[in-house]
Amino acid sequence: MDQYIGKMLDNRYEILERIGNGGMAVVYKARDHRLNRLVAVKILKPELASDADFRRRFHDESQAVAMLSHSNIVSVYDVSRSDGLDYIVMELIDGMTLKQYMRKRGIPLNWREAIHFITQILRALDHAHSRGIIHRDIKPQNVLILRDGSVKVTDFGIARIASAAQHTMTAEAIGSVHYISPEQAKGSHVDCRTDIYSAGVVLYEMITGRLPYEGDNPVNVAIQHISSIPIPPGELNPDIPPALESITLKAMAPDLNQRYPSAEAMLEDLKEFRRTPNMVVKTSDREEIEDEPTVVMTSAPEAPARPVRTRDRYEDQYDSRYDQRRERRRADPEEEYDDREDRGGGLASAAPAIAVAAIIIFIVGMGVFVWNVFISPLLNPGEPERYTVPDLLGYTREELEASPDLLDGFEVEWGSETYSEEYEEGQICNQSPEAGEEVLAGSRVIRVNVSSGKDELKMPYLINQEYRRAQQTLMEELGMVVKVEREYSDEITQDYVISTDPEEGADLVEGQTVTLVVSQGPAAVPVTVIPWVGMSLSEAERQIRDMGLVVTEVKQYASNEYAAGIVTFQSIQPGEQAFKGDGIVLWVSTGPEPTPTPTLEPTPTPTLPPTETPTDPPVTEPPATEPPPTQAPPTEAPPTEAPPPVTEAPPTEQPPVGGEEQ
Amino acid sequence: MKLYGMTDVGRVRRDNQDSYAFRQWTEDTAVLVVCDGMGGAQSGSVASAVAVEAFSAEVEKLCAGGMPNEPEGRERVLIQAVTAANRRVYDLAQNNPEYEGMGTTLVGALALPGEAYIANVGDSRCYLLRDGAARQLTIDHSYVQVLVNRGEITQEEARHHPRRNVITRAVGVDSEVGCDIRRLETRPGDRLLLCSDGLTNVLDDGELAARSAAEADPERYAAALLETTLERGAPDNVTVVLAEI
Repeated sequence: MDQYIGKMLDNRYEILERIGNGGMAVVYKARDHRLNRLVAVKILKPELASDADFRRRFHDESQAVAMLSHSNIVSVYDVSRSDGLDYIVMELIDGMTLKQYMRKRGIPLNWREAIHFITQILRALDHAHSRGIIHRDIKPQNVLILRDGSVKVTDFGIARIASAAQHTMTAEAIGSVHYISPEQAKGSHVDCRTDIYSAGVVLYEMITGRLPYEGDNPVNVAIQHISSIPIPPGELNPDIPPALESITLKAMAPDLNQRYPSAEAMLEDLKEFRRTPNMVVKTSDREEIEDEPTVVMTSAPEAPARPVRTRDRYEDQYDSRYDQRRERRRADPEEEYDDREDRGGGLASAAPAIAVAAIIIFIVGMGVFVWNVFISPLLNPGEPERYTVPDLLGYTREELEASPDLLDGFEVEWGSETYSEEYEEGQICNQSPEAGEEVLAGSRVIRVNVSSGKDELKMPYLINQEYRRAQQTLMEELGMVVKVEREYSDEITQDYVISTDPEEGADLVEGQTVTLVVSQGPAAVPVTVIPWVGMSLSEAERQIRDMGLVVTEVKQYASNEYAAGIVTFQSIQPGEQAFKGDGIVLWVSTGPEPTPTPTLEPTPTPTLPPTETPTDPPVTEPPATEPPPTQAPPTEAPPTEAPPPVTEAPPTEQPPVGGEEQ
Repeated sequence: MKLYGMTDVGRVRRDNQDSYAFRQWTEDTAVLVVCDGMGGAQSGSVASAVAVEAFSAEVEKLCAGGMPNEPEGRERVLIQAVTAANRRVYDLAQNNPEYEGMGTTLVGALALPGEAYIANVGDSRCYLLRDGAARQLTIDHSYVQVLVNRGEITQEEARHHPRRNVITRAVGVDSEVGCDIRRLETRPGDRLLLCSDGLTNVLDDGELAARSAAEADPERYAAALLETTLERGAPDNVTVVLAEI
């Protein structure tokens, strides 16, 4: 392919060097001699250029993409064909892909940074969608991060062009399917919401550090996008605020009706989240989602779902912060959030003004963040002016307002109230950045939290929470001793809390023992085991599966009684009771023993030690179809008392003919 | 038994990456094979050409010394032939940078007196045409087939899935490959149709059957299938191999 280097296309673009290679095209750095600037030139691969229909689509789609003009989208300058080459001329970006960035920085990313990136991605999508262009292949490899921290999305429409090439290819060759929407995986009609899903996956990856679905081949991954439910982000990274988790999962909703209808709608929620981090993300008003404990249903986001702590400290903090805001709004609308839009507005316009102010504060905060974390390490530290952060700890708001000199030219971003052992109610109890740190001009914002006094220990609301997280909240944040009891429940998902003792709101003493009653799923369904000895393995396995049991192991066993492939023994005897989901071990004949010598010594050695005091003696009188005792494999005691916990869902139906192979 | 084979580059592609072959030893003993190659530049055509040759040569070699008596032995002939084809393509791809990543589908049939054995890898298919109906004897190793098996989409939706070109198994991309083998009893008048997806993406099963019923002459039947495909724009290479018992 390097034949192109040094070549001049259209007497205008001089190909300088190769900078990338995609499935469809090779990307070169080039000089545009007419405008005297560097550009990226993407040349279609010759095997694809030979397909007339494909070339037509390539041009049509590229022309459409060239109409997009947005600061978060890589610009397409020109679409051309010369000397038998089809190529696109694009903005040359000096930066790295989000994938590379995540790899370099280490994931998960700080969620604030993730929001910064996803917001820009969504703006790009919003613009493209408004012009009828669906990206179809949103993934971190298609998101470029520039040196200034801004984001540009590239390769709009490419996926659609690529799918027009109907060359046979192996599943391995189709590239990443880790971000593919369920409707795309199914081949159904797609609309702009497919990009929302993929953006949701990107957000998921940024904040949790892992992909929602992984598998040993692309087909498995695609299937999971169709039929699996991801682990909620908060379980992978407890730092993630619940509302952000809800936003992520709503973007990734497999059901189109549950998903954000547009990039704009998701941007709205992200905006709201920055303003009110304890916000409640509304699910679609169609119906409730089952098994979605992270999404709280409410029609009135104004009313905090729970007056006391829910979920964890985040929400708690933000609850009080929210309340604090509302009170202030009532009391003195112009005092703190005074800004241009608000002047002359009075009470009625205060709310939007506050919103705007909050956004501005957030954006400024983001700016500091992006600068500190991202931009400044990239730039060579020059000689910009630096400012030392003053110590605000212990001051009250009133004191700061009375003596603005204390701020030393810094602005204050008032965060939530939080419990403090050290500082009294109303005093600033922590600040970020800390006193003594140096910041650059333009970053002179200090985020503070105000003490709400000492923590009074109250039992939080934990029902329907994942119990390990509830346990963590109780132990680590409240210093409780936790006792877990298990009960069957048809309503509460396995591993989620059914009830607590004491109940929500009760006063707690540090070191107190609290009890979590945790669901172990629906009550066990008993089944009576039938004989499978003498049957072919495949038939036995089918029957066992139909009965709701699981074949955990198939052991090979030489047998003179049974032909090869026939079941000779089963670990749970006919007539015994088992429970759905229980495992069973089968022994299968490998045919007669190779040596004709008598089969006196038992061939297999026990793989397990003789069991610990089984309540039932090993079965000594097998039914008529059983092999004679000498043939019987070691009698591992069948699980007689508590069934083993069901650790895995029963195997889902596999396609009959190993279709999922690589 | 009469055998016919034909292939066409189609109306869109520049290269024909399909290959086919058939060999007949006796009046009622023959091997037929169709391969649909994949890979950049010309490598797809290389893969399919090498595979049809290796497959049919191996079958002939194994059968020439005397046909195995047992069905299992005959099935093994096909398995060994697929293995041989896989080895040849794989070795070529490993040892020549220009062939890197190439591979091919394969559908092959061993027709014997009163019976036939079918082997397949990938999404090239074998149909039995009998009593005015077309029965697909092979199950594709493809992404859309997985979706169909799981009940996510229907067979009809699979025909229009944008990813219907993605196969889950191919000859020559790995050191080993699994194939499915099927045996069926044949009757005089049966037609065995082997084809690449360039045919089945354009003509559905009903059309394959209707044409067969309408065309008593097997060669003209095969030609009619090809012609219809071309009339409809033939987006892909199209190959038909037909045996009339």
